Amino acid sequence: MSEASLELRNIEKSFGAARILSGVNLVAKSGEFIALVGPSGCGKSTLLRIAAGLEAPDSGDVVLNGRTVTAIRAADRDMAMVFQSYALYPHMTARQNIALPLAMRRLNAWQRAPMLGWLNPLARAIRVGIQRDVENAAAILKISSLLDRKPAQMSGGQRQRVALGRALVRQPKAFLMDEPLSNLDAALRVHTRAEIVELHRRAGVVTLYVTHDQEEALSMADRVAVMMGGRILQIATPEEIYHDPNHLDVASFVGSPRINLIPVSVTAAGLACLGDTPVTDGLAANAGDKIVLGVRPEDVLLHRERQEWCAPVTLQRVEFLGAEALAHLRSVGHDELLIARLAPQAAAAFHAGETLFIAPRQDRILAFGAGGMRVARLVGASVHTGRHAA
Amino acid sequence: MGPRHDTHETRAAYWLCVPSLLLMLLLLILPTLAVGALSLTDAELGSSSYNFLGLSAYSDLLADRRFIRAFKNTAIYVGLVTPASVFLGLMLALLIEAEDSLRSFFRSVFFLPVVALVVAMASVWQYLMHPTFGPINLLLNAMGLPSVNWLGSSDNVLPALAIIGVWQAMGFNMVLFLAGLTGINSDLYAAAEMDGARSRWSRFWTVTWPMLGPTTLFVLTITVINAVKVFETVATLTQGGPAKASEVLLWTIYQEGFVFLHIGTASAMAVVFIVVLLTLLLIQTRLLERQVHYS
Repeated sequence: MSEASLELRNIEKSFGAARILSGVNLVAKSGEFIALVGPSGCGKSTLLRIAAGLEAPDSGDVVLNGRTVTAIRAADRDMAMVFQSYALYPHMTARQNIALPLAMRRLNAWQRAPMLGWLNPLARAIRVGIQRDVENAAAILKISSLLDRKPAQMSGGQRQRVALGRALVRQPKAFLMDEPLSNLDAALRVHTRAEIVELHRRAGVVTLYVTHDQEEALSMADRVAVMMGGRILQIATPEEIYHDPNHLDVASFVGSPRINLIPVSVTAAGLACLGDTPVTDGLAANAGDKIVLGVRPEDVLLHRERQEWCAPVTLQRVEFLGAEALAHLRSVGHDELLIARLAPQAAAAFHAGETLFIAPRQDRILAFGAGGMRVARLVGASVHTGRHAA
Repeated sequence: MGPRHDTHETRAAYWLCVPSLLLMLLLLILPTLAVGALSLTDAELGSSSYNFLGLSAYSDLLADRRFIRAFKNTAIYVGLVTPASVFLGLMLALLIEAEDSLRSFFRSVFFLPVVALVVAMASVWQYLMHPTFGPINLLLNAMGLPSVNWLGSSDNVLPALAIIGVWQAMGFNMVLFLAGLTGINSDLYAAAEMDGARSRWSRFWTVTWPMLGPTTLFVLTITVINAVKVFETVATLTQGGPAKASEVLLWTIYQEGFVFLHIGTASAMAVVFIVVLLTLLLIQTRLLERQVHYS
């Protein structure tokens, strides 16, 4: 396991008048898998290209293994990149594609040239070594039987493996992946996720993985960096990003179905009400503040009888998904649409059109104030068992 | 979908092809066959009768020194114009592609010869290449070099015509190559950079040249066809002279058919011309298609 680490310091980048990245900082520890996730246009791909050296930052530094490489060109940074389009050389076989980064580094221009290079015994010896490495990489990726095909003769999944092979074969200091699974069909995508994580573990070097798919980010990465509008809003473990987002945008970007967002009014003493119904208390907010409560669908509890912190809702329909069911709800008098995640057996007891009462799990309520910033909830009030209290 | 339905659809498809097949027959195939038929006779424009001669027009051609000369000259001309205009067209395209601000200006300037009328531009070239007061010779003299008799000497006339041919074809080839260059996925260059292709040279051979394969094949084909058909510059500047040194196929066919009115002989020449052109293209595509990758 090498000790490769990658650091991005205060990266700024504009294209013309458009500001793409504004002061991005990121430290990837050695061997760490970091997913950069965000909606399209958030600057995640540009950040990756800056890390690679394909794009120069306006200001800021890229530090690889303690060495500043900002001024060093991509070819000399010794990182490998996997592209969404695969970017395989269509005129070369899989074998030649995977061998190319080795040929470029181990052979000089004369040794690479046809004829001249073949006659040179030294070059021939190097080529034998390259072939051995190519076949090893192919064996790891289970594409040994495809090596003599050209990209046009391969499926999307096979091409992606060849692209991974080309990145893997020379044991780079870091892997940079730009939406490598986006062009694959859904089943293959889920399968390949696990394989990429496995390849990352085997290589043991820093991986920066760009994706727009939050599920992919959560399931693969050691840490997830959520990017919006040219900034990293939060960088944390998948669990933390999901349960403890620091910003409304992070909370609503991560999770499917989306987190329920309930605008509430704060009455005296940090008490939040939906209309006249108090739904939670202990908020670090003043009366009159505009607060949005975030409650994940699995944290919405449904009751037939009114209880403490309960608001009335109408059940619109139940969506059966096999292992779980989603109840679509509309709050009475406010028309807020909410989703509750239930066990299918529990959902079967409810009928569309019924009036029910929802209670957000008090220990899981997330509160967001002005500008989407997280608002603290004081422990005590109604919080009996919560991760913050614990 | 039963077999009945299939035959019905097939029949409909043939009927739908009829109009275009008819036009093709009328406008392309029949005229070619007519030329083939005329080449077997001693037809002359204006005379009402003609005799069937069989293949004697063709055997006469083999002995016709003027025709042989035209054949050779055309081959030399094609051999000069094709590599030079393809190479220069590619170079121009690469230079213009690398330049951001003046790209459309350069593109228009180099495309000018393609849209300019050759007959009109020929007079400019005649002036440029004039042995005594032509600017080209004045420039040579200024550099201490002797004057060259461009169009008036039998040694120089083909290269001089080839220079004009390159000037004409280069801009067109450049535009085709530019289109080919924009079709290359920029990820490939990024991948080549990541793979360690440091020099422009290695990026060119790893990405640009192979990806331009289909474009190059097309450019070669078009250039050869156009070069074989060289006519206007010969007709306006040299009329096949001096001493038949710039006698080319189309010029000979034109003179035979429209000046001497020997339709039969001219037709035989035209048939040979078509056969040569088709053979050339066939060889070219067969040889190159194996090395070209279409993605």
